[in-house]
Parts: sequence; structure tokens; C-alpha cells
Amino acid sequence: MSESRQSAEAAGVGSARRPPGERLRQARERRGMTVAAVAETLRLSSAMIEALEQDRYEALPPAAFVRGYLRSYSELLGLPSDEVLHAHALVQPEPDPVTHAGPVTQPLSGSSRARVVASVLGVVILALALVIVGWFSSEREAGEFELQEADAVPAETAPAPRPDTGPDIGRLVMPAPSEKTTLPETETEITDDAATSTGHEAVVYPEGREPVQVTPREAPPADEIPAEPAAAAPDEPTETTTPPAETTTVQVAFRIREGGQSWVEIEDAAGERVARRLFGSGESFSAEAVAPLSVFLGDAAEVELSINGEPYDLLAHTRANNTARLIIEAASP
Amino acid sequence: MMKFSGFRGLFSNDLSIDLGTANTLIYARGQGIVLNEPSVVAIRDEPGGQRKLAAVGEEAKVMVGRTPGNITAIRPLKDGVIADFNATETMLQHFIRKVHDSPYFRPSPRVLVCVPYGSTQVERRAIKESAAGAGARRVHLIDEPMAAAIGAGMPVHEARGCMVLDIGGGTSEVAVLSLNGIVYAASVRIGGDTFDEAIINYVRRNYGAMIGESTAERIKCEIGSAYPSQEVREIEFKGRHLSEGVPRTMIMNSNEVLEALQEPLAGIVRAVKTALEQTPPELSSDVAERGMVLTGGGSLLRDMDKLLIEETGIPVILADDPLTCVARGGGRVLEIIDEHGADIFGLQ
Repeated sequence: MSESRQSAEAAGVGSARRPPGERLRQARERRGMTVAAVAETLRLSSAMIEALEQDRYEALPPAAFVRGYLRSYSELLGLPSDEVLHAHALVQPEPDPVTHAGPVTQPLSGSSRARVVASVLGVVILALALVIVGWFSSEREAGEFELQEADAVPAETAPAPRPDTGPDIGRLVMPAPSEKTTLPETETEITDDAATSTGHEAVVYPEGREPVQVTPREAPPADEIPAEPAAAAPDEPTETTTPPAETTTVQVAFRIREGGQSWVEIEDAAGERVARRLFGSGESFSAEAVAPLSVFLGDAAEVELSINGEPYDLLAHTRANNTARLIIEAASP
Repeated sequence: MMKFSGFRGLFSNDLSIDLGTANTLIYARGQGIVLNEPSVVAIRDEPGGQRKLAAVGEEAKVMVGRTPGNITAIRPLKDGVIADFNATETMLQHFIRKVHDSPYFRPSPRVLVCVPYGSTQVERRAIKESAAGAGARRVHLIDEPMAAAIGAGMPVHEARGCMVLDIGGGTSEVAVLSLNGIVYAASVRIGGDTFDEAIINYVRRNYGAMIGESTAERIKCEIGSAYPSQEVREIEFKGRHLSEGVPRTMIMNSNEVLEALQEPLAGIVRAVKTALEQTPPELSSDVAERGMVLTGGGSLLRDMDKLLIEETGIPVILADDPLTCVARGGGRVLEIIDEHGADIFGLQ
């Protein structure tokens, strides 16, 4: 009895390393069972029981079945089935993929795939952020470059229309100082080139009087330019004298129509502010300043403008948003 | 919307769901079984007629039979199919979120759900829509016996017959498979729940006492067996005496439980015998040579294999980890779909 116990213990100790067949055979023999009796109980063939005891797994069905047989056999013999199955797993460690009993581990699982995607996304987002920052900084540089260009721009290009013809309310309320400073620099040249400039004259006063040239700050398209700008010229003479070109003054006056109001900005040749505020209903204003005058009218429809005492039709200078920008120059005689 | 769910899908694991009557198991590809909780939902009736989710899974199961008037603990699946559509959808949604811990993306996984073989088109559609409603971007359905056999590691792709008996909570499925297809399958509405009901009825009949589902389940798990054995085990339990109306302590032994389970066990044996009769002879001889594999929680009933060996005369073996076979098999099917396409199993 003690011998059989010792042998059982020896079998148990060695079971971790050895195939389970020998241990099963010894246990069966201890219980005095024959292969045929075991086969009859488990409804397996004697050949399969012998194959299990001799660890000949190639003669047996796939591993899933073998594990089932080993479990049934070990329970029949009163052996711990976990140990027997563990011993079997060491002998036949890698069953075919279908028979893998434990959780299947894939090389690229959902979570690791998510990590890969997340890192790729991170890189893309970083790249996008860099591109956006780069674009903004280049935009700013371009803006500065434009301003510098505007400072140095010659007179014929200065009044050229900006690509953005829409209303610029920000500029209207708070004009950029750099733009203000450009006016005096460009004015003289504008005046010099006034005779040769084409298409910019909206109004040319007749000779014998102080001629005044009105140029829209942003030139309208050629087809919008009145064919006969001089037709709008009033016949009445102006009271202005003929000072040197730099000191030619223009008398500008306007009146706000009843019920209307308009933001008016007028600057003289030196960039000095002649008027810059919101004028209310019925309010009138008159001033004489050194030409050229830069005029902005917020609501041009509400303003009755007169230059050198002559009413001036703003229709040609009124843009779609109802604002008008014009430069009143003293034309060369 | 679909594109975005595809994008969210990148952050979701493919899931195989064993939507069982008793337990819901989720196998996440590459991670193994990530969830095993009872299919129970507790719903609280709020003032104003609103119904709110009180608990799901393990938390809800302890409430079964112990709820106040405003809380209802329900099992949304009955006999393997959906009995309460909204509750099933809510439960699935909760479980799918639970297995995805990403706080940034609502999960939108590809999901494979295992359905009983005998389920009708209406029942299948209900399960499919329920999973889609729970956030799945794509839903595949597979017959439970096929998933169980694959999960048990059976070589279903071979031109040899494999027989599997999956005893679940609500249904038992028996099938003979070959070449990745089902040659014969049958589903009987007998399972672990039927065992519990049989024990409840037995106690009422013979002890004149009422016991709840949880007590019946405890009796089944601790001393239940399917085949007589020399060792007789006993269990002490408490129930409400019907005539006296007060709780009483009773003792029941394993032979009594075996007697109580005779009827449902006979139903399962009958289904297996019918399957063997209906199987073509070549496949039948394969099954007789290699044996039948038991899966599902019901197969853990003591000596279930012995009963079937005695009744059928063929070898019967218990699968490794039988509770999770269906979910693991579904996970393996998802991998096979990726390798060979969905047509290989004729998935819907």
C-alpha cells in the first residue's frame, strides 16, 4: 500500500514535466482496471485508450478531443484533471489555431490598432497645426509686406483698387495709421500725374475756374465710369483761388438729409482730420482744406455733397454697401 | 454619420457577444473574454411616468426578487430570444460601453451576435436591430451551435462529422457540423433556467415551500447532478412555507435534485437521440468514433457527460471552459471572416 502511494506520489511529482500517459496507465493499474474496461466506460476504442497511455497523439483526433478524453479518463481514475491536462499541454503545446482554448491573442488587436491610428492621427494633427501656424505667420508677413509696399508705392499704383472691395468697417472707424501716413507722401505725385491719369477723373471743372478733380479712392470698373464726367460739372464758378499746387484749397460742404445720418471722414493733403464723426439728420458741414481731400461717406445716399459750392452727384462713387470713397483733387489747369 | 461611425470603429474592438438568457458574455478580439454578466436589467419608474435604468448585469441580478414597487428587475431575454426589445438594447449599450474604456469616442464596434439555431427571422431581426441600436456599426449573426463548436476547438472545417451539445440558460442546441456548415441542428427550449424551475416546482410539491430563482440556482450548482452517484450531498436552504406562511429551513439531498431534474434532462437526451437518428450515416460514424462535445453553462451540471454516455452510447467530452465557448467561438469566427470573408459561414 505504501509502495503504491510512493509510486503515485512519484508520478505526481514528475507529472509537471512528463507526458500524462504513463501516469494514467499507472493509476489505471492501481485501480485494477483493464484497458477494455476503461474503453467500455468512456465508450472509446481500446486503441484510443492505449494511444492516450502511450502519448501517441498523432493516432488520436484533434487536440480538443484529446483534452476531453484526458479529462474524462483522469476523472474516471480519480486523478486531478487539471494536472493531467497541464502535462498534456506541455507535450502538445500549440494545438491548431481552431483548438486554441485560451483567449486568442492577435498580433494586431483592436486596442493596438487604435494606438497606431491614434499616433498617426496625432502626427497628422500636429502637422496640420504647424501648417496653420505657418500660414498665419506668412499671412502676417505678407500683410506687412503689403503695407511697406503701399508706403513705397508710386502714385499711379496708390489709388489702384484693393482686391477686397467690400466694406471695411474696422478701417472706417479706426483707420490704420500707416494708411493715413501714406496719403501725404502720395498726394503730390497724384496731383502731378493727375493730367495723365486715365479713367480716374470723375469730375473736371471747366477752365477759368479753379479746376477740381474728383477721383474715387477705389476706382470703379471702366464700364461704371461716367462717359461724360464733365457733364456733371456745375456751371457756377468756385470761389477758390489759384495757389501753388501744394496749397490749392477746395471748399467742400455737405448736408445730411432729413431722417438720415452718415459717418463722414474728411482728411486734407497733410492727413489732418477735417471731419470725422457721425453726422445726424439735417446737420450740415462746410470746410475749406488743402487738396487733395480724402473723403469717406458712410451712408452716401443720405449726404448732399457740394464741392466748391457746386452740388456733386455721389451716385458714381456709391458702392453696393452704400458707402462712398473719393479723393477731391485740384486739377491742373 | 456612417463614415463617422467607421472612424469611431477604429477605436472600437471587434466584439463577439453571446447574448444568453442567463448570462451575456463578450469576447473582444485580441483581449479574450472581457465581460461575463447576468442578462438582467433593473428599471426604475420615476414620477411622471418616466422609466430610468437603475442597474445592469451583476448589480441588477442581486435585485431579482428583492425589488420595491418602483423598481423592476427583468431578464430581457427569454428562451434565447428577445422578450423585451428596449431593455435588451439598453443592456447591450451598457455592456458595449463598459468594455470600451475610451472617454473620447462612443464605441462603434463590429459585432457578431450568437443566436439560437431555432430562432425565427423576426427574432433574429430583433437581435440585429437591438445590437445596431446599441451602437454597433455592423452586426453579424451566427448560429450558436457553430460558434460553440468553434469555441470548443472542434475542427468544423474538416469533412468529418462533429457533434456539439450546447446547454445554455434558456435553450439547448444540438448540432452536427461538417465543412463549416450545419448538417443537422435542433434547439429545445430547455436549459439552466428550466432546471431551476424544476427544482422550484419540486420543493413546492414535496416540501410545501416556495423558493426563489436564486435559491434554486444555488441548489442546482452545489448539489445538482444528472446521473446517480454513490456520494450523496446535502444542502440547507430556506423557503417560505406555503401553509404556515413563515420561512422554514429545509435540507435537500442530491438524489432529490436528480429526481427533480429528470424531466428537463429527459428532454435534452431526447433531442440528442433525435439528432443522432437524423444524422447521415457517414457523419454518424465519425461522431460515434470521436464523440460529442458538451458546451454551455448547463454542461457543468455534475455527471452530465455520464448521463449522455449512458443514454447514447457514444463518447461525450466536456469542452475547456464550457461557459465561454460560444463567445470565444464567435471571436474566432470574426478572425476567420477577416481572413476568408463572411461567406465562409454563410453569415447574415
